[in-house]
Amino acid sequence: MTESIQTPTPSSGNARAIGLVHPVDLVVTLIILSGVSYLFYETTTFAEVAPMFAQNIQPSMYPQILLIIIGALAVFLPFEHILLTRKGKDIDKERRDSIPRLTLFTMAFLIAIVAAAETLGILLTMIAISLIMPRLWGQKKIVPILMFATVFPVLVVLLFSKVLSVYFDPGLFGVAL
Amino acid sequence: MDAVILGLSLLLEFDNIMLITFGVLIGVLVGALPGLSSPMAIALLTPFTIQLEPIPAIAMLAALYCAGTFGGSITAILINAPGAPPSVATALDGYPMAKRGEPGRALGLATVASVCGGVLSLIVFIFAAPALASVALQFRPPEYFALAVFALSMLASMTGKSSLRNLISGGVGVLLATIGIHLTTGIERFTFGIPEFDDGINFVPVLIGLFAMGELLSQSGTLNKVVERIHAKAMQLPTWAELKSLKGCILRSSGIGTFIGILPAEGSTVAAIVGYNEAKRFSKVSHEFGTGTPEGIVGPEAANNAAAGGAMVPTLALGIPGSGSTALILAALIMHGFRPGPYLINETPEFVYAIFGAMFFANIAFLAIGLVGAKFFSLVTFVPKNFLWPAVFIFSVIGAYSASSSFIDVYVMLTAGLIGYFMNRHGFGAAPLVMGLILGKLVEESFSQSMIIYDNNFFALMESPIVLFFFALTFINLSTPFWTGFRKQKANT
Repeated sequence: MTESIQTPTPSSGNARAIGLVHPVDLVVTLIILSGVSYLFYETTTFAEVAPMFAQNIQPSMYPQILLIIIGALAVFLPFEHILLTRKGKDIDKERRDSIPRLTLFTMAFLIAIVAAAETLGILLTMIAISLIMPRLWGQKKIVPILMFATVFPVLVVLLFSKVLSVYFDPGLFGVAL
Repeated sequence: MDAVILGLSLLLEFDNIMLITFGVLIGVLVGALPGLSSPMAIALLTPFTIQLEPIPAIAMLAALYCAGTFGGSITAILINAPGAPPSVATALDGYPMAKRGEPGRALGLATVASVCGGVLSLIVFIFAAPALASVALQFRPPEYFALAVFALSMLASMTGKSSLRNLISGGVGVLLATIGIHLTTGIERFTFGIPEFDDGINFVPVLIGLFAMGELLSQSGTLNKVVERIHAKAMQLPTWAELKSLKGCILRSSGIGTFIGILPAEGSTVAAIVGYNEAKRFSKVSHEFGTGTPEGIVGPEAANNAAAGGAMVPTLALGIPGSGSTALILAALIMHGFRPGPYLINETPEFVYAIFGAMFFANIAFLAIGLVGAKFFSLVTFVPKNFLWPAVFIFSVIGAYSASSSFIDVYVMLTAGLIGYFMNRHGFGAAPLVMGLILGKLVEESFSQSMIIYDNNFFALMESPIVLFFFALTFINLSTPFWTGFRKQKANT
């Protein structure tokens, strides 16, 4: 019922070019199955309790059922493109191009700033984000960045700490308002 | 009657009116900004509502939810970039109408259809939610388990590229809900020695990560995208004659939207698409669809706003989310210490009327916003992305941190965001994962209790006709995507 407004569909030739097994989805399946296997192993390390106390439902039983279901569903992923192509859906639309370099840089920045947040404290973290991220995302003018980095974090801290009583960790440097 | 007065009295207090108005404005704003969405705004605002009384807090989020759906239509019409997924169908005729020099008329049609759809669905909500809750009071754990399984199976037909991927996402969400100490036995599961995980994973950082961080990373790849903006001076309300000619389309789409909204997991996006297709099917000028026909605007707009009211029915009456956004409202309810479901409605009926009042207010506010603020909201799209998204990141960090003043939650938020980005890239939706996470506890508890009741005999569950009914629906629902695939293949050959 949604066909009439869908995006252009891939040609069946494209699906034939991929073949029976979709290589990217095969990798996705292997990643999911690895995770499922590791977590299944983890469930075997859960402590067991006496059957009467557990009422015949050990703590590992339910997660194990879920992991088996997830694993079983994941097995079909490499073949799903056949059905999706017949339905006129392009599963590769978003992943056909490689991840943009800016996205990778942004990921690295997010990880670095979050790792440093405990040391910097919330206020300094916000100032660092306001200074670095607009520049990283292509803002060349320094004055708007400086204005943003000074006004926005201070307003946010004042709003949330004074009005909503949110506690802001001052970090190792002890910087807070 | 006391509950009605008590619930609606919420709208008589100045502070509450301000909160709901704030929710509406934020909703329209995030709806209008491409990339930002009402689920993201609900996720970001939820931790800050902990300081508020529960009923006004949830009412504000409900108003935001309604407004976000409406807000998306502004940018769908003016820049052909739907601010929110439910407005995708609106852009198909809204943008061509705006492009041929009638942006005010397109906005007016969208606004009036949104208000009609929203109000009609709220009327259904006010009667259906208490009635459904009374029926659900008869449910025992096996019936609840079957209902939750049915709700999870609905993820297969949720919007997205793949039913299979939606189901896997939902399964991962249910699995995430098992983190923490097992209620029956007191044994730790998947805590990996982190004491903060003993009480289970905190919903809020996961929600913020999936909806805000995941989108932030996606947006970093679209910085150079240039859009053509059409300037709207003011909204132009449709004439009485025009409204009369569109009456049937609006009513039909409102009914479709409300019904789709009531179905677990089916949200405004599906409703809008079906609303558009049905408007086209019943139209005398179906060949003009896509060129800026009024029915092509009012059809999806009435449907997607009606779905918002409809989605609140299972959310409040059964504790089963009607859509991705209502899953977040459920998370907020849980954070405020409520257990959503029939007992909530039967013990605190004023809650339903307060939500009704807030959503009704939001719908009426659309008219004022459309008349006065359409020009302003069309300008918000000029906010540079390289300032907008750092601001979103800052709110995300604060939101995750303030959930329990712990940096662990910030790490969880970031991890969820990175995983969310890759999930999205490979076609796994964030909304099914959230639905799974919210329903996870209900599924496990009702499953365990059912197994105890029936002495571990799973097939004994089928003794209940309600269980059988829900399992039959689940089977139909799961098999439908495969049947339709084969039918289409047959039709093509």
